Amino acid sequence: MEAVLTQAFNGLVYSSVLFLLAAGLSLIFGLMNVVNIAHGSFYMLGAFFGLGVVALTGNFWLAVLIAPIIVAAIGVAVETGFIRPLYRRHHLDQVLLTFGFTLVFYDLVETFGGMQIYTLATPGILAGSIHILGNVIPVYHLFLVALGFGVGGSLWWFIDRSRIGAMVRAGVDDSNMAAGVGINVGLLFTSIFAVGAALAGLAGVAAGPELGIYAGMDVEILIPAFIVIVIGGTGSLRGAFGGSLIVGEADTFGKAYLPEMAMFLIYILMIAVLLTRPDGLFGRAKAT
Amino acid sequence: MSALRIENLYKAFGRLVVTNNVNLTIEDGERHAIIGPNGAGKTSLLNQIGGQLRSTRGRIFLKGEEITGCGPEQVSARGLARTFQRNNLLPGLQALENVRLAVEIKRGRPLNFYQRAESRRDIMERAHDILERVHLSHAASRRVEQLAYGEQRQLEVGLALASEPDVVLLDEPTAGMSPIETAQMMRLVAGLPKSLSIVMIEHDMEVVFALADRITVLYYGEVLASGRPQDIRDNQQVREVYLGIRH
Amino acid sequence: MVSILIAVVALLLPLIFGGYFLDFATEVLIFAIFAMSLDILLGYTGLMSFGHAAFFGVSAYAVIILGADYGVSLWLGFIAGIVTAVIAAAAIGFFCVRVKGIPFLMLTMAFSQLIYSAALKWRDFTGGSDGIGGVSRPNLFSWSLYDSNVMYVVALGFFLATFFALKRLVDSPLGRSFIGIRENEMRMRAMGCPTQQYKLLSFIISGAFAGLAGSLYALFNSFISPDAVHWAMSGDVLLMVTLGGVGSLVGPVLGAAAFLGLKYFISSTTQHWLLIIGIIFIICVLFFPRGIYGAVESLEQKLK
Repeated sequence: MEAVLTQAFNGLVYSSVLFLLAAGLSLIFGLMNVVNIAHGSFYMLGAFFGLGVVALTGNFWLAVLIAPIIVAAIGVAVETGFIRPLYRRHHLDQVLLTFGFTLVFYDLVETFGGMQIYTLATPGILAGSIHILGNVIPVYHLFLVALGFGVGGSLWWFIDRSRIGAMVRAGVDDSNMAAGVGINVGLLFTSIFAVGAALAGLAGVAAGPELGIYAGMDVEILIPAFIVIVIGGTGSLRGAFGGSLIVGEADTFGKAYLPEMAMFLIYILMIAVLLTRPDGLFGRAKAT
Repeated sequence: MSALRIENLYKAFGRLVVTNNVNLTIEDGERHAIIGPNGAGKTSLLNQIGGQLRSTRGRIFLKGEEITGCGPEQVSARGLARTFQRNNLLPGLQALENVRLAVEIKRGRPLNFYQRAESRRDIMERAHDILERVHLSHAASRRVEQLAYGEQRQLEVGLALASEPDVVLLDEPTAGMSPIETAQMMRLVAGLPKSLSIVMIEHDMEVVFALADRITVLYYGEVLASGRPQDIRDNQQVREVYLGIRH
Repeated sequence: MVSILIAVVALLLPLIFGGYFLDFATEVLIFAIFAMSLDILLGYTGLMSFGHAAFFGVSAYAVIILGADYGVSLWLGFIAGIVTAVIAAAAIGFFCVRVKGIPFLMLTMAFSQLIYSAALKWRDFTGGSDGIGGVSRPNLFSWSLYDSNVMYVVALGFFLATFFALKRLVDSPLGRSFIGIRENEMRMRAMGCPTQQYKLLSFIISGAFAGLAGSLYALFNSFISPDAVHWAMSGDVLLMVTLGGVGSLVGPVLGAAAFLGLKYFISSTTQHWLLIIGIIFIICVLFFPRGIYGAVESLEQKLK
């Protein structure tokens, strides 16, 4: 029983990381109809910039603060410079474009970082573990889960309650109408893209100590993240949340109890969901 | 046996009811207009008949055969064609190719994978015929993207005719047209063979009263009134709805 | 007329030069078939797949496994490979055509990754990450395929057969239906076309020719590893089609040549192949959406 609880909590940790990525992906797709294949790259860049900040300042918290900001800036550059000209074009063109960026970012990271796996030292306050319900839980795991839920909760509240959130929701529903009502759709798009990128970067630097930092971590997280939004339903935060819980737990339990099947499990899960509920478990079809 | 019969059709999206127990019968050769204020559920009704939308309850019969729940391709095969309110054509292709595709599906061997499509003389001729019928012969080799809006509306009708239907649904054929284009479309519709049954959604009352044998007024998804043009014109409820005295 | 002349010269050139260039040209022809097959699905039917390597790789594995473990003649294996690819395409396509857009993209990638994982795990059968080799190129009647000229001519033969067969297909009623589905699937359905069945057909035809490329690859390489089914391979062929010009059939051929040429040239001088192809690709998507072929066509128009 303890073992199951431990695995369940481990699953929560992975779910948290996935959620940070899926939330951004889902918002970006829901609002802008853009499939950001380079989202995994933002995750990777966040981790490596985090490494850099720690190398320069020795301060983990500074890294957690600064890395996402740098990644957000990169996101702004990519969106305004490269994705914006493509809005009128077919959305598959954006897939191709962001795919191109994946190659560029990977090469840059590999050039500056090499092929080794890096570790990021966790600060003293997050070291060690505590005992809950007979389980030994590393404090860092609690930190990650709290981060994921905290960010998720804030995002949810923000989108649901604030005026800007209302604009986002309006834009997700029907961006033409939103523009017609006077909302600065361009600024909104860029902002959401930046927020999504920042979340991915945050996930990278925060999860780095746990999941490892290496060139190639972009693809390793991207496919599960996409599986999350496909299972949960695109354009829906609730979907990103539900999906990341399902995928996170399924993958963790799979690796623990069915190691032979583990590689296949989340793919089979996605195939099963897509065939019964093509819009995802919590998804809604877009208005346009 | 009627051309089209709709029995207790009901469609709801969650709590939003767009079609509320609609009953309608269209006889062979009838020209039937469906009118009503915006949001009355006219296009949703057409979408359910055409197979683009699945009804929650109720049944639809085409020439006596049930087509409830059939997809668009099956409905088309059984003899019902439709046009769309917003031009729904094959944009990158020529007008002639648009029509040819429809004719091929109906008359040709669409699974043929080795012969040049244009080598079927009879199909090409038929496609040209249809273009002529909708006054688009001059635009045959122009791509849909290059056609004027009114010409695109005409092509919509052409595509519907190419499927050789017994019943055709026209969704606001004159939408967005100038008076001259409207007159032209009116002549086109008036000139359609008497064997064809036509259900037409229209906002332009001139067109409705000129062409319709019978009119059904839809209001909030329900049939408010149905009958001959003069009866509808004199109907008190209809006048209130249209003049906005009562909502 | 001029373009046909250029094409004939280009296709005969490798035989004149021989050597390394001849082997390179053979590989280009094999990937050109692979790229053309994807173009049917992507360019003509409008379905973007990130898992096309599945059919390429499955076919190659069939040829090599039958040859290495069961001693089956590689020509028989060749046919078996294509049949395997067709079966895989039918099975995978059956599920994938039920969804569109992003779910379709993800589903094709998922199935392809499943096959990759299987290839990796199933060591006894597939050799795992080590792959399988140990087969030799067969003979064509009395000629040995180890003669680079013969190998090239064989590849050329299949390439030309593929090109003309697919050209016929896209001009035929079936091909036009694919194009119609790409332009407006909803409209095609309203016109009476059972689009889901047609999409499956496109998927299978596309998979079959990818399988042909895979079989040739097995013959040429005499070795197969899971890399052939990895989604990076699917990404590569997608790049080839897009660079060359989607929906033109000739484009993917040019794209395959350009991609492989760039790859070998750049890889020999620098480590930054991915960076450079990434940048080229971004530029292509932004400024040359119709690829090399589209750019050439535009140039032709301007010169007239």
